[in-house]
Amino acid sequence: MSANHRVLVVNPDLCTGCRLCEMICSLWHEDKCGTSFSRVQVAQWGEIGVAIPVVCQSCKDPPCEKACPTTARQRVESTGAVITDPEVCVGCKSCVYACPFGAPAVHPESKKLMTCDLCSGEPQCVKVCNTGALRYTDKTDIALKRKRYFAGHIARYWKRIEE
Amino acid sequence: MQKMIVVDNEKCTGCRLCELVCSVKHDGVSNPARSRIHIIKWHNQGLYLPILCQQCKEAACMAVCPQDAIYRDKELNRVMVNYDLCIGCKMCVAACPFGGMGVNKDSTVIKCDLCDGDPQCVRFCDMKAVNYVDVSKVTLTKKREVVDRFSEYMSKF
Repeated sequence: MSANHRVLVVNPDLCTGCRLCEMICSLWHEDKCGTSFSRVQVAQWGEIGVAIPVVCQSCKDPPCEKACPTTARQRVESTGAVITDPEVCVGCKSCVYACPFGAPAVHPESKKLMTCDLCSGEPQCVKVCNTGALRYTDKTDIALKRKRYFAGHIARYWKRIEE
Repeated sequence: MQKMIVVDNEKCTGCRLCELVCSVKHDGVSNPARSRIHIIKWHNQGLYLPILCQQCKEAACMAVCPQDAIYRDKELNRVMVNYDLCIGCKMCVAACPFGGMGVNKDSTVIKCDLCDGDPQCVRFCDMKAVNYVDVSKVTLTKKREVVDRFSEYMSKF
């Protein structure tokens, strides 16, 4: 199975907000442990105990690619990730305005835009995520896993399967 | 008159014919991975549950879509994706609690569209485990079962 059949999936229910993914992301890409260098950002609401990792969704029809005036936003065929070419990027932040999620982040030093590149098919955030809130899985498998999870609820309620 | 798909798990044998006809109808290939309906199985317990989009009234997928690409088709009482607006961000997939929204290999999101009023899964289900019935009649079979059981018990006296 080639890497571009897989996709990074976020399950906010399982995220504890430990932000280990941010640390490993900046360490992997920049050799620094600073969350502002991270491609994945955990949005947190401490009072209500909600944490949601926000990461580039590698959209099928990405608005950032359309908005970019210099064609710096390109899809990598091997992984399916949409990345910014730092050589071409002029740092105009058009992609930031176009993206509905706020996924592109401005690099604190170079002021160029950075997004998730799926670590060339081996996302480090997934490796360190202890709870499984971040998963790198087959595209056609996402809905099936969710269906199985939901069906398990019903089956347990009917007492047809064990807890 | 509005209809919806109702699943009777007691009748489902887990043959997965619905998955095959669904993928054939929508994508032209016989491939259960591309089906909008999936049967979740517990072989040891003999339990088979067909799961598909519930066409929710307050749909989570519709609420989270950043492009407002998901809308309700009032005529058939279904939730639909406007592929002209969809950017393929897969937020709806993450939001749906049932796994009703799926993803194809080319990153398009897929969901049950009731086959425009003639669901093929219903048509081909030999056991009639998947039914397309009028909304007002959904709970009627259950009510009948309860009444039958009640009258059977009372007739002893």
